Amino acid sequence: MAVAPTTDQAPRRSLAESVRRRRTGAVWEGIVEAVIYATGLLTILLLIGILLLLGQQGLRLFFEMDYPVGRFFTFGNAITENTSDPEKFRFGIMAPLIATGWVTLVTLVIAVPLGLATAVYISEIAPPRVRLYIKSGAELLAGVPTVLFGFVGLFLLVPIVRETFGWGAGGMSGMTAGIVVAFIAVPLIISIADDALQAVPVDFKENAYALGCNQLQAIWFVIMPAAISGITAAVMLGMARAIGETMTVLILGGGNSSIPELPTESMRTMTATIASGFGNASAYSLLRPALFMTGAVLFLITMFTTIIADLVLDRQRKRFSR
Amino acid sequence: MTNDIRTEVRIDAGAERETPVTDTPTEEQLERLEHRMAGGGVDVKSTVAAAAAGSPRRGDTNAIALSLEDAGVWYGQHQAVQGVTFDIYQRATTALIGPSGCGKSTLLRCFNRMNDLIPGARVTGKITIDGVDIMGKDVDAVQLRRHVGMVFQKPNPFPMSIKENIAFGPKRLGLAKSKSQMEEVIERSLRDAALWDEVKDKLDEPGTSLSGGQQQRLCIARVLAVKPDIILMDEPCSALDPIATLKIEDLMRTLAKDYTIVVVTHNMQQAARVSDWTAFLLAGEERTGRLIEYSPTEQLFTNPRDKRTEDYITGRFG
Repeated sequence: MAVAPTTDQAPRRSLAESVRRRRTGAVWEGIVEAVIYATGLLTILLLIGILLLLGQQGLRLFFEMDYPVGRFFTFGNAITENTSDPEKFRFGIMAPLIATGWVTLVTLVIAVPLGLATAVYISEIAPPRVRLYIKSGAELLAGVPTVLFGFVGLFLLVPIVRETFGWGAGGMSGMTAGIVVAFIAVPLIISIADDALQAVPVDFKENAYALGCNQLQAIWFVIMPAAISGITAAVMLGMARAIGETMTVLILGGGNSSIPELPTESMRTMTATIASGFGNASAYSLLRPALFMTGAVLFLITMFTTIIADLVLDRQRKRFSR
Repeated sequence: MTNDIRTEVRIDAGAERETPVTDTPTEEQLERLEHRMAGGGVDVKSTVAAAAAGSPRRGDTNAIALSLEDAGVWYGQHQAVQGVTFDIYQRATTALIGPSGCGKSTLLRCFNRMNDLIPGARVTGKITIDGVDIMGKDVDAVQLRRHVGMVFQKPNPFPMSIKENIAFGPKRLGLAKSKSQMEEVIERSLRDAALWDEVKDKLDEPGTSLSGGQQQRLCIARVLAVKPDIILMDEPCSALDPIATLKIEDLMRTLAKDYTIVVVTHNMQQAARVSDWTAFLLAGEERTGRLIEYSPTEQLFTNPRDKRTEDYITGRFG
């Protein structure tokens, strides 16, 4: 049955004509695409910009102010003195670098098992209600400003550490800071690892159970390996958090500028060194470029950690691709 | 050194993988397949007759593998299956057929207590294997599943090598005492699953590098490695192409000599081809599945006792 064309319908065109006229909205689409492309480009430019700024400001230390490169990388102290005399300036990156290493290590040793165990528990074992409570709790905790963690650590943990263990400067040490940073990293690890575990297809679990696995075997041998890339990402992000955390380590680290031989000593990490030193670094002092240089090293460390993590993930993805 | 060789092998296989791998059928299988395709909509009756001519129906009614008494399944307030009573015979293939939502998969998942994993699921009535009420309080579902293996709809190799996939069950259950024993288990399982010749040179490659049909046979081999008494198959061919399906069906016929197989299928032709006994389930408007008819496959498809079975197999609904 033929239907009479209604007046509100657009006239029928041939394909050739449509191509000539171009789609309405094609221009708009092009604009949106360009904007998105620009924002993408911006992140890369920002990355390059940070590296250039840090490098350019930092390298002045060696090229304009004649501070010896070897001394910067090997000197075992990082005294943030505001001086323009290269003879008097005693600043090496070793101490803050090792301090950052200690704090990161303590953080990971505590946060990784705790975070992963909690993630496995809420993802695979806990009843839905308990899961909801813990997950919301972790998310709230992740939103708390880290300076508050520093406060809480100062008033709750430091007295205990001082009286019981006598670590560092009056209870303030790399260990103290690391313990508190661990509780900043844990919610992050829980959240990402839980997402990864939840994303494991249900057939994996069913197959494991159907082959006679008990719950722990299914989790350990099938579910966790299947979620390994997400779990690695969770650990790496926890690590990045520990390396980059500033406020907490500044408050709780103790502030000693020399090389810490043990995690229980008072220490000042790279971030804390930059944050505490910048206030009194005048434009002509050696301290300013030295702190920029420290920042550049910090930046490179985090960048390499991320690149290595990406490579590991890529390899796993290839190996386990479905 | 060893590493280099392995990498090379992997690269070679990777090159092969570029072209979509599918199972290569034998001449004879290809012929049957062509015949099947040419027949187009051949009716189930001729399929069942042809299958019967190929291999005699099995199932000794005196040797009961699994017995259901008034079995029912609840998901919370909804009853998915009600009042199912019948016996499944040893060393035979039993097909569960019926339209979508008739509860056939739900029923199958009772046999190895997979429903335990679903919150709110409850099984009523009595299901007996080997004289043991498997719903009993003293029965550990983990223990049960070592005797009742399961193959799922989608082939699902674990993210590990072919070898490790097969070794997975025996390792967890401590079935192989030594390395050489484990190798034996791996080879036997792969041979029994008609996969050995295709994968014997690439046992260290990921299970996921195989084609869909090979992956499904890998999953069958993985189940065989645990040496179950009963193998449950939940629409094992629904994600496979016709050639791969044919291979799995042939394998099912072979395995039925040594194992009790229960297969859920939405494909009546398949039920007619591979099973010795067929149970037809149907759900009414309240979506509660009931057993309508249980007969030897040939009888069910050629001479059904129930009008509803007749309607279903002649394609009047479902």
